[in-house]
Amino acid sequence: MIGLLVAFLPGVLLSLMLMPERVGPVQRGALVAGLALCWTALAGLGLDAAGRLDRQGWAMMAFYISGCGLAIWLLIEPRALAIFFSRLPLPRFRDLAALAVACVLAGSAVAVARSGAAAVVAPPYTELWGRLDNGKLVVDVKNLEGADTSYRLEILDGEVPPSTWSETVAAAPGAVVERQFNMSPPAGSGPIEARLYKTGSAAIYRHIIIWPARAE
Amino acid sequence: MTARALTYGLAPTRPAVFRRPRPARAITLPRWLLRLLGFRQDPPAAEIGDGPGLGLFPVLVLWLGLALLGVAFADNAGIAGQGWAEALFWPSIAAMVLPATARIVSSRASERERAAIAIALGMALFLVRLLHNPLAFTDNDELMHWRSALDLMQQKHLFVPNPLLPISPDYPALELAATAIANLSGLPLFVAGMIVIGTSRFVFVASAYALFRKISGSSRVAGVGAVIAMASSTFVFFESQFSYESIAQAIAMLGFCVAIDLVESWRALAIRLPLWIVLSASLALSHHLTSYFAAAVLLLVSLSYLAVGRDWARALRMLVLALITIAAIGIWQDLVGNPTGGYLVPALVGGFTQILAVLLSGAERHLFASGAGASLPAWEQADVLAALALTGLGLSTGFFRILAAPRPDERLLEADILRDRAPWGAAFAVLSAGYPFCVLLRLSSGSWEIGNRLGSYLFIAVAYVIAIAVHGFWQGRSASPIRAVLIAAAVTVLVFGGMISGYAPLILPGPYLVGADSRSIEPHGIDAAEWTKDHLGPGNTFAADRINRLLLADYGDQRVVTSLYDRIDESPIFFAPRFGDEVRGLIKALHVDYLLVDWRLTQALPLVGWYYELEEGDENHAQPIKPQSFRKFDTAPGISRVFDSGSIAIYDTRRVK
Repeated sequence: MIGLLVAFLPGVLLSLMLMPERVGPVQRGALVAGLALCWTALAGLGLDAAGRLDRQGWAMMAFYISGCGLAIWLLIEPRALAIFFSRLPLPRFRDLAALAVACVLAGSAVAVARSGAAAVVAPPYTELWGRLDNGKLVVDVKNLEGADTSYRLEILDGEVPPSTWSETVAAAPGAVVERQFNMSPPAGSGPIEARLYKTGSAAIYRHIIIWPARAE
Repeated sequence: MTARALTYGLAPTRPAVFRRPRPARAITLPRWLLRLLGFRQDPPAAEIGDGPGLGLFPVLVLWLGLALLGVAFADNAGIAGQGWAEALFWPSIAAMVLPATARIVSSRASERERAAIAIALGMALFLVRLLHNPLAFTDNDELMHWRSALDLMQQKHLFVPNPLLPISPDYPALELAATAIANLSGLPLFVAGMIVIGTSRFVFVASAYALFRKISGSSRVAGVGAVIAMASSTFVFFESQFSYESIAQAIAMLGFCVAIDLVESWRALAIRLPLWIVLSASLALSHHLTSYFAAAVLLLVSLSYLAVGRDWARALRMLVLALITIAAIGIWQDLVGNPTGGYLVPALVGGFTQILAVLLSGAERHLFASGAGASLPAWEQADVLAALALTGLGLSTGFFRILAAPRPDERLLEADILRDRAPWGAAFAVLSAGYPFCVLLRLSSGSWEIGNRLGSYLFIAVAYVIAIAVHGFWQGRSASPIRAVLIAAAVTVLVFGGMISGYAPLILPGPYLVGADSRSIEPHGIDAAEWTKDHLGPGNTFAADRINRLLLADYGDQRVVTSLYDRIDESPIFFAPRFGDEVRGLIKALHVDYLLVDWRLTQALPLVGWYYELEEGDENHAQPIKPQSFRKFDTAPGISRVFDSGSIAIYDTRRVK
């Protein structure tokens, strides 16, 4: 929260420094908020040139601009602070209370929408991936089915006729299960295929195809 | 103080002189038409100045909060695929716009009340967009700018190339503001971005109100104008995105509002010059088109001061402001390069060529239909047409009203000031005349986007002209609440029309759709993009469809291929029925390490009109991509299929590139 105030403070002081005369509350509000956006654009260029586009750089720049703004403003109008506070439009209590309740309602609306959006789940699925690592085929299965799932993994090497390895893999929801297969004799020039079946099903559920790296 | 002295919150300079009323004359059709168009005008209605309170604002702001809750529940129902989502959403929006506008139009509202209501409504409509995507950036442009902001956070310097939107790093004001807040507050980039956009919305609406108030001298014109500006097709959704137009339009509007004060005297201009330099430099860093538009408006107002006001001094001072803005734009473009050659001109020329072809050949865009061919519901089509008709009616009754009678009521203390500002009104009237052309541009699918974007700028002027018509004729001196409610209902139709024509059919969140921007962003694609970062490492060159490449760039930290950045259309890699020399050649030319194939693209046509690139050609959209076009990668020699999640497969092409 303090960081947020620090980000907006230069806007307040720049608006009072660059346009200290009395303007309506709507225009003053627009000026403060607008200059709070503008200072970051211009200061960002300076920070980039200085290689300080980081948290410390931004904090230093915010305090520097705010300090300069305050100093110049006080120079222009020595009673500036007293005048500023006397000009602050003070809404009536019932207006403020209504605004506060409306903000709570708006916040509740955001919370409702966030909970709805966060509850979105993708249709159940499984990820299969693999790679060849020093003559070993490494295959991973990630279960995103939302329930314990059992699979059958079948490996076909690139030879003709292919050698086949078959193994049953069980995975808890969200778990990643890894299997390694020694491709012995070492994989030839043809592709190796890994096929994943859901237990009890003859249809290929997922498959990957790995070509050995080309000999340099 | 008398009731009359409360007019505009100011005392009259001299006693009003009332002539003996003329005997009533029969109203004839020509006379009525002259009155309708504004060539004959009644004196403006008296307005209530500032009282101690905010009138009905507390009640209305509570009502806005409740309506927002309705929108949130409607969004959740949309996500769950409930049919009643729309039946709750639109009444909730109407519940926001209608009472707020009716109160602003009513003659009983005070100036402060009107300003507060207009700003609260603007912020509520910003929240409507936030409620649509409350967790993360999901729209096309947002995800493009998010990449630039991530680069700024991670690499801590400007101008890191962004293949998704190559021009974005050259206009870094948005990303700088968001990363400044994220750095100073420790908030996530998404929250910081939404604070920046929310602040921009506030600046835009408050500046629009202040600007219209200064030009017209009427808080009713200001309030109604600010609300009608929210009926632009881009206001609720597009300009509430984390996108550079959003911040730039706010700065431009603030600039117009300040410019009025600065041209009052040479002394005012000299003293406030630093403020103008800050604003024009920030604008130049924000967005190319908006900065051009702002400079053009300032030049037009300068001309208007000459033509309408015969006011050489103000014209000259306005010219100075315009020249400073042009200089800021020129200096910035000298540093980062001019985007008009490679980015804007092709888009504009392409759009205009398409609309010419449409007009000459008689071919037509299928109106009210998405790229996938689905049509909008009949009531939405009717609302858009009604909104167009109402805009036309408002423009025709406001246009001449401004040009024919720029002189304010002489009894007002502000009369001199308002007379000096009449050239602004005239300039806005001239600008608003360009709006129908933007509507015409929307008839062609190629120029639709240009029409939509240009329209959002001109709609500021349109809003003012219509507000003058409402103030001077439609509500006029009447205190009738029924009339105010009818006008508010018309404004509600305008706001609905803007939302529908700018964002339908994506107004409500919902289940996955093919090529549908925010509706295509879902956990499956995000998981795949994150997998690439975790298992392949960042910085690999990927070719993918327009949705997945956004995810790959943002969540996967990969370098993606785009025709905008690489100057080569990669879509034939995916559309080609066989893996032949053309595909191999493109993979080599683009140095593609991996291909991401989304099998869901074979199930439907893309909602926004294209799968990969705008250049991919209509011949690819007669039916969804054929599965064999993707299956070719499984049998292509040397190409490994390293990842499979059912919907998404990733192929390693490094052996063949």
